[in-house]
Amino acid sequence: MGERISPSLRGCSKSCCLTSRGAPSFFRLLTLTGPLCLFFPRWVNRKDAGGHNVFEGGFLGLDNIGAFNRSEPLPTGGTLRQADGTAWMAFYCLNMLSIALELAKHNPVYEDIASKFFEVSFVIELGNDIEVECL
Amino acid sequence: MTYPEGAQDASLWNDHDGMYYDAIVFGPGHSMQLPVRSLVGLIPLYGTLVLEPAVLNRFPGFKKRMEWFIDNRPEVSKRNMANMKAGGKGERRLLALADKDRLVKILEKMLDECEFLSEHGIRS
Repeated sequence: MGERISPSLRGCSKSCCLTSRGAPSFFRLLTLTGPLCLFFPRWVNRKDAGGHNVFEGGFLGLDNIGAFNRSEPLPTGGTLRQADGTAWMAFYCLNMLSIALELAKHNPVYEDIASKFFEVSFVIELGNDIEVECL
Repeated sequence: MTYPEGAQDASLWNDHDGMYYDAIVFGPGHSMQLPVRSLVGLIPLYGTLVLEPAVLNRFPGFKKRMEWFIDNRPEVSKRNMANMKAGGKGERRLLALADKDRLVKILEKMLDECEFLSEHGIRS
């Protein structure tokens, strides 16, 4: 996935495939989902400079309406915290939750993964103070 | 959508304007919002998911952990989930980044023809 691609677009498109094409085979969905699970922590780790689950960086498709080119360092110095970047990550997370619940119908392993995405979606919204506890 | 600013938390949500904005963090304890009203502030509305009761009943482990989270993180669930305890229509559970109050405030602007809404769709 390139730097200039919105983080959740792949998850969104595959989630849409779920609803528009009927139920895909388990293995087909598994093949689609594997890379998404790898991309998710990549975005979490690389686009959250402060480690507070508030995200920045990347093109996100809205640079042409912003005050700054958000793919480049800010002329003012400092780091941008992006409302849309953070929202895309929450959206990505909720799509992954939806996909994991679909996969769990065939393999119970994905029920635990769904729980993890459920918790992470709240961490993204609440930000720095929340740590997900293992149950 | 919050981050630490000194001893307190700062948020990308602006209570006065009723909108999400980007913010610049200059250093520990020093940041400022960029009050530019644009499509950026509408993207948080994408972060929604409805959990159907059939799904929750099918996965008792998931349901149990979800309810643990709601019971033990009330400050999180109150703010982020509509009708999470009571359930919505047909016992559906709504997960949403923007709660009801924020949704209403954002929609007021999004559907205002003097702001976002145009004859050709939503202005960016």
